[in-house]
Amino acid sequence: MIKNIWKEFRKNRAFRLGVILLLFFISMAVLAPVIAPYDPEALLGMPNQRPSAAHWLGTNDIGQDIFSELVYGSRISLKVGIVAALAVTTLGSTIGMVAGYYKGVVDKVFTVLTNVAMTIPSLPLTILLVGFLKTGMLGMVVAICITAWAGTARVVRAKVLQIRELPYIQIEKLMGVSDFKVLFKHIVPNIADIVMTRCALSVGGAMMTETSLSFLGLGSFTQKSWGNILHFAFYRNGVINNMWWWYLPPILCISGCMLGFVLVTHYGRSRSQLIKG
Amino acid sequence: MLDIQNVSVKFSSASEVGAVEDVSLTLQKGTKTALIGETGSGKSVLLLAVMKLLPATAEISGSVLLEGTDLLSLSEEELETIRGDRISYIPQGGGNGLNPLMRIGMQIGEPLIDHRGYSKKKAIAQSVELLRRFRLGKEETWVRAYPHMLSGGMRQRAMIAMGIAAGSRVILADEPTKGLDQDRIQGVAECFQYLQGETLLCVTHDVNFAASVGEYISVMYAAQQLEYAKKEAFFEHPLHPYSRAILDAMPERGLKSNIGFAPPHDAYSVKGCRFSDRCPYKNKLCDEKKPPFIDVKGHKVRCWQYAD
Amino acid sequence: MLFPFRGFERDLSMKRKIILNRLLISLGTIFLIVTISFILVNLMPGDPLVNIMGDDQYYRVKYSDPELLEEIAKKYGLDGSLGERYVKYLGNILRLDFGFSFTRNRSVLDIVLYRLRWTLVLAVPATILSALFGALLGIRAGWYQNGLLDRIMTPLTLVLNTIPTNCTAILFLTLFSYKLRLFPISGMASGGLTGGAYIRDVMWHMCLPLSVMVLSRTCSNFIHMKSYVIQVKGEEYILTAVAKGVPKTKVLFRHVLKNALLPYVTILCMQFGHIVSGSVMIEVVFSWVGMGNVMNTAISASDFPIMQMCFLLTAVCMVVSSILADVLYVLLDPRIKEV
Repeated sequence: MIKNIWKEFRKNRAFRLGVILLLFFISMAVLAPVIAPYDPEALLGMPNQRPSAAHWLGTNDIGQDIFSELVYGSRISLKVGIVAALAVTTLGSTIGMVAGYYKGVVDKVFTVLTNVAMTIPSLPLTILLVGFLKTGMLGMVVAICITAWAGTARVVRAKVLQIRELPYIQIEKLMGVSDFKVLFKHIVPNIADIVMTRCALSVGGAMMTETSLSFLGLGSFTQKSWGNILHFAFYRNGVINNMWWWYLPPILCISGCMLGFVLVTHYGRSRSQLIKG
Repeated sequence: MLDIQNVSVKFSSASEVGAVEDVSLTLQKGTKTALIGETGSGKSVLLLAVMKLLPATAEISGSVLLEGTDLLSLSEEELETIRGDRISYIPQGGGNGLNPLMRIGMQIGEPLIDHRGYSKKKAIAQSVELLRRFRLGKEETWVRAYPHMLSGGMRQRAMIAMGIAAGSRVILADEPTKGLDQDRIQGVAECFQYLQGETLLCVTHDVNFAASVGEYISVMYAAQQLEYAKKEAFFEHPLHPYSRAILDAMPERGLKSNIGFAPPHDAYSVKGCRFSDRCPYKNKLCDEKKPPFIDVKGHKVRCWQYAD
Repeated sequence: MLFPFRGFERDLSMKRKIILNRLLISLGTIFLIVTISFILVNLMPGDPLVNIMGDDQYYRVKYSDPELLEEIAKKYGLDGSLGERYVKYLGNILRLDFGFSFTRNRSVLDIVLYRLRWTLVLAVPATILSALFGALLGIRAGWYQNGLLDRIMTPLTLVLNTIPTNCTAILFLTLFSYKLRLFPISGMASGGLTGGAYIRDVMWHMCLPLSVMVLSRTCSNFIHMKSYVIQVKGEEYILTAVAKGVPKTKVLFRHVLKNALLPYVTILCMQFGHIVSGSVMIEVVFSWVGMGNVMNTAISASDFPIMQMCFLLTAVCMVVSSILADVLYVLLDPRIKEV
């Protein structure tokens, strides 16, 4: 696995760019206290300053250092993205695995459920859920989880349906090996590739949703993510007054991070195609 | 009629081994030749190379003379007028060789529209006649059907009809029996019997089918041609140890051998004879030097045993 | 006859059965969605009346007009059991009574339908244009794979696709409205115009939001169409067609296009389902007061009746479009697939 990734890294320019982008943002999040010159929440006097040596990206409408906000914002954005993606992937692959493995009634119920979940418009439902849950980040993660599991579940189910028909698994089942053991010994390793790709894809998707929600002002206000910074830049006249140092950096960060995930998952996709073909 | 001379195909110039190496075959007018080989032996690639249908990444050398014209030297535009008109290709019936969204009649009649300037209606009417030649039954209904409604055997017949639609005299057929059961294979073999006057090169892995269709038999193994002979000569006294092995492995002949047939991965890179590692008669020479294609009174074979 | 005759008549009746089946499933889905919406309001912690009206309005009405509160409670059957409430709720929805917005003092249906019109003004042309652009560019890039268009468009769309629409919208707004002053900053029309002048004015206001929408959708359409064309190009029947001597352009038009357009039509249908919900971000940035904007303000004002109707409307739209996709697929594809 690691060897494959390394090989891809050396050979594939797009994948390399993706990894570098992601590493950049992850290290930004990890090293936030070291990089950021100020406490992102501290009010530093003069609001709406232009970029200067003291404030690289100026200050916002209440005098917070935008660069520090941005650096700390990477933590929130990535955290929401990763936590939500892990939750979505766990939920989705568990449901998909159970449905695919047991077939029959369980599968029928599952199929109807996924079809419903796939048709429910995710953004309005997420917005509605966040509106109800009102608990900031947790609410957001739960809302993303409820609306985004279906895609993963569907893919995993299809793969498990394929694997469970393989002769050696049929033989093990006939020999009376417990379902639990078959699932974890044979099925899980076989779907690991797909699940990981789906997970990386979900991080991107969840970050996109987070950005949208935060932009609409539905995120948590105590911990500012990139989407949140953009929200304030838009609603507190940063865009109208053309303060590019305020609205442009979060846009670049969000897009760069998304690009990183897309490029990396492209590798995953080509890999799973290799396995299929 | 069709003269394949020293055709080799490589998929990347970097690798030394090719998918097809130095194959020569001459098809006399009106004869039927069966090319026997296993999956991966390069037989299907050879067919595609003859019609220049391989992707641009493939490097083809040698020449393919169709009544004197070298197909390999023609431009894509010139080939368009020859393909389907003077030489045609019949894909595998079991596969996805027919457009799923186009009615059978239209697909069979298509060469007539493009090469003979037929109207659509006339072409479809003609396709009914063509199907009749292969005794499909209910031809008028079937020309209106879509490919998924046909069984594998019927699809194969439709594709043979498509191949000869515009009056093409040279037919190249790719694995016509793949995915069919014994009864249907019989039916397809009959279809090829209906071809009178057309020159046929049929690729197959089914020795029985080759025997019932071909007048000449050629054997390919690991990208090389190992043997070429008239059908009777081949089945009565095959020369190459590999040919003998596959004939002995046939149930009809008592399953006398089982050496396992897919060539090993490294067979392509050996210096000498590619069959040497499983050959019961091999000697030192076989390991060291590539055997030439030797002509033993019209019966050609690539084996050191027959060298002088 | 050797083979079982799978005739046309049987295919037709199977198709009819499949379409009927899909219709039933869709009805079930809509019912489920309506129920989910009920559960959200009624089983959430807190007084359902608060959930129905939203915090602010509830307390405002509670102090200003307590009798109205009782009237509302009665209308929603809040005095009865959960079952009774559910039946009442279903009845209201069947009568297209989605309640009353206390923030706007108007019937929810009126507000949402009026705003929906403005969303459609934006979304319908955007969907059509992006479908056309995506198809044309995608077909060309897929057919001439690794050609100039492909080499430019593919990385470009990949990058553009990663920028969230609200970000693109902000960038367009700052560049074209503030910097270059080519287009109005926000809104849908200048006041005091009628007739042709009014229509021209709306179209002028539409330019920016429309182009952002077209851009983002064209990108994803392009990627889909290109991959479909490439996939079809590799199919064996295309090789057959080339081997028959069919000229290149005819191979494209007779064989590749129809097969590639089939899945494309399906994703277009699914896109139609996003028509009312997909423009929230763009509407907010450009102050285009359509459905998305109404939904957004309803949430910040905790106006649940409006939120609920927006949710139901978008969901129904999705269901309708997915059934449309299914039906079209069954009609266009002679093969029958049980899903």
